[in-house]
Amino acid sequence: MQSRKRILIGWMALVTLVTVLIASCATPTPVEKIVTQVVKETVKETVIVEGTPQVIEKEVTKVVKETVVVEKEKEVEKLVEVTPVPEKGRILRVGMWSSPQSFNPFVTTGGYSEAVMDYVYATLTRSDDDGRRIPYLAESWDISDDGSEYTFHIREDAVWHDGTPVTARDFEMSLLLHGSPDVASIRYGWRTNIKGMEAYNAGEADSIEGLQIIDEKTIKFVQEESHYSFYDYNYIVLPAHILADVSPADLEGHPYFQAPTVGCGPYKFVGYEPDQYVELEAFDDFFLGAPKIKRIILRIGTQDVLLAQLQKDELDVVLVPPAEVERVKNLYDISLATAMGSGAQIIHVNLQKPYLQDKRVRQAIAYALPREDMAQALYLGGGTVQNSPNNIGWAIPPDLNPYDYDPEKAKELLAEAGWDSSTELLLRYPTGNKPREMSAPLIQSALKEVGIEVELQISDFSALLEDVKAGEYDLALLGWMSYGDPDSHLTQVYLSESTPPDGWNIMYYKNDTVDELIREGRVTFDQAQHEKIYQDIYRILNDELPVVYLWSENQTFAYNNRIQGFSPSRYGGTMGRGAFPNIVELTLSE
Amino acid sequence: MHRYILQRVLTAIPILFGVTFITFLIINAAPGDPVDMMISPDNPLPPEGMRARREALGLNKPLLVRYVLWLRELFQGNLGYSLVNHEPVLARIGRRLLPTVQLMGTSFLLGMITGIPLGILSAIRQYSPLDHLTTVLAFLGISSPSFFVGLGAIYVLSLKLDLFPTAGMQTLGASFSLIDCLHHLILPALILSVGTTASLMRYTRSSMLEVIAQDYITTAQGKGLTGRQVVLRHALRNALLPVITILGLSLPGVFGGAMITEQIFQWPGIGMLSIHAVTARDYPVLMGLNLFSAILVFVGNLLADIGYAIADPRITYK
Repeated sequence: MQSRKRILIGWMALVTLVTVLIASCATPTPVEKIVTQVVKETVKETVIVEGTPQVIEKEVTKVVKETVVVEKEKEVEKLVEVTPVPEKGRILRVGMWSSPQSFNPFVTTGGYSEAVMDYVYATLTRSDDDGRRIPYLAESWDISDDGSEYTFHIREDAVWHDGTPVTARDFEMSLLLHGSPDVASIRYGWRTNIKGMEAYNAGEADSIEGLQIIDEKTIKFVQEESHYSFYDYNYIVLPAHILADVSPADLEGHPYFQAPTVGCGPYKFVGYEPDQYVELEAFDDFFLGAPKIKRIILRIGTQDVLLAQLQKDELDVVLVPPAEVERVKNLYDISLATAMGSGAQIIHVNLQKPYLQDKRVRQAIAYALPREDMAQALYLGGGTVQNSPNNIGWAIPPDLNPYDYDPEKAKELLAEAGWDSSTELLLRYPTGNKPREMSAPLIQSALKEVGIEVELQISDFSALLEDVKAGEYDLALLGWMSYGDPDSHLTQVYLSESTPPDGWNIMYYKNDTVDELIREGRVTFDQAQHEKIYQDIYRILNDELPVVYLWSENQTFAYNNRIQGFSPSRYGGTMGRGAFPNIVELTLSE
Repeated sequence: MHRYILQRVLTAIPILFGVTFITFLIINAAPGDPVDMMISPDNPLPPEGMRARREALGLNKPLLVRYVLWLRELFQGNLGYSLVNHEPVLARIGRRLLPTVQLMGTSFLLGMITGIPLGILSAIRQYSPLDHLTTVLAFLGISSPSFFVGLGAIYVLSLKLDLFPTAGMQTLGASFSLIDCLHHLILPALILSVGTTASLMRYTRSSMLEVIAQDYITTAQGKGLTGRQVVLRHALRNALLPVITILGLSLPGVFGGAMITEQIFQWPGIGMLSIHAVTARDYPVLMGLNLFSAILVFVGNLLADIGYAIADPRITYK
């Protein structure tokens, strides 16, 4: 009897204690705070060009301030003070959503591996936010008159992390490895426009004709076919003084790639605890100046846990999924920064299917989707509707059809095209992107409204790729990132020869005019003409809709106010240096 | 007994072959291949590089050839290299063993320490309020998804009450400290132990009830032994027999890790490795993991059977 009562009393006491503890922490004090959001947006401006007013789009950075009543949680007395957190103000702690697979650029292009390599390595040039090339390892470059030869002058003060200067030999070795058939670099396809690259890869030559070392710090690349947007030279350079004597067969297992401690970027690789964190240290002899933040830790975790860590001050900056933006906005000590997305989510249409070959059907699909509302619902204001492959200002003509939501028009077009409403379309989409997954049922119901039956099928990404390449789909939801120049993307996706397995034209789209324009654009070196050609291409794509463009996702970063100067670029997705283009100048206060 | 063990080992070998072969077939039947997973989904890669990679990784050879190659390497003691980062599979798995055992072992111990006594108490005081309470808690424990409980615990205990760190094995950037590691271990081990506690408690309870109903217990009570003597000296020993079996069968679990909990708490164990290997279609690592798992199941079963024979003199193996 006694022991039973005692147990009961003990339980009740415990429950009461816990309730009291929770209750005492849950009463917050309301406080006013000013929430600032740095937003980059595109605005339309009327400008007089050669006497005629034209509407152009410009990108502006706005700082939006609003006063918000926020609940500041009372400081809870630390019940357990175990290990003091070291130097909060001196380490930048960044959250990453997934582990980097490998640090070997020949083997992976995965985003999280790229993120780490962004800090540790450098390339000849990099892009600014408008997609234009700016000097990085190269302090300047000359382009020959016919545009086929690029001569780069490597910075005098560019050194590897062990003090050895970066020279042309490093570039030569790296390119040879990319082309070597024994290394089988996964990035080989991005380097094929260098003269002699294919011959070297086929074993017909001992060296690469289009790569010429002029002197220690000067290197020249000659293009196979002269293209305007030549980018093949911009590969990650590896140290020749460490790797030159390693045979290609031993390359992959070489300890250097498990721990790339000798790089040439702003930060040195210190260590990687698998699935936990990557540790980086500032390289004080970096050619753009010693980074002010001395240590960076890239912490790997699931989205929810990383946000919790940000709240608990165990993290300084992390990407916020759209659904959490509202909640995070109201946290004390945390600010938001938004970078407009650089790619688009797109519905690819399988043009091999006869019932999808009439362009009126595809236009009907575009009219049937209330994309503005869907983007608003899915991204809570963090999405921008698109009508073109990317959102680079200069390539988008001002007279594109915006396909505003018009279900009546959609029905009209379907009737004209003789749409058989018993046809069921299979819409396939991959896992891995929550808002995209949520958009599929929305698309299904919107299309049903106008008389198109849609069946949904979700798969994991790799499975989807296989099937889509084999043509087993009607509609496929996929996203593309885009960089500075549209040529690469257009060539891979819209050129008629780029059908699988030679490219990503999974729609099997064939338009001779577009093919011609794409080829012409590559060799047009006059800036104005170049822009006009792409605008023409975009107009055709906008009319024929081999794909239906949906929207681009903004990226919202939540960061602790102690970070000074945080201004993410639009390519910052996986928390690499893209998220911190000015990493060298960032500081931490307190 | 020795002959029995030898017999078991000999029969295990063809079974292990079968398991690895079927595993190989299944993971290759999954759509997509490792090279598809090496590229970033949003950034198109010209296919020439991918073709070359596939060739280099030997993925174009026929299925049976690849299996036989794997077997040949296995007999030389080489489990192969991970397709993702070219680390030897043995090293890759081996590195994860210690954290896994730390986590699972602790949670298991916690489960045993809490579950078994609670089960005994429940059985002795059958139908009492304590019994009802523990039964309800047990069902809650078994049915709560670890994901939910884990995130909830992080939110309450870590975020609101600031009692524990959120995730990871140690504090970022700090130097190694045993207390710090233990501090990080408590929460995930606790969450994991919920399921073990609940099920162990139920097993112990029913086993105990069965034993208490036996005649010899009534005799012992009739003899005048105190309740405690009856329980501890007579009933418990017999009631724990089935529990030994369960403990033996849980051995693969201790080394197998818990995928979901490890994911939430960022604990670098075998569970996380499995998920990564599956997503990346890392065939050598998957084969290594499965072989490891199969061997553990075999060993666990064998230990359970031997343990049973030792504990229960009525059982002998010839």
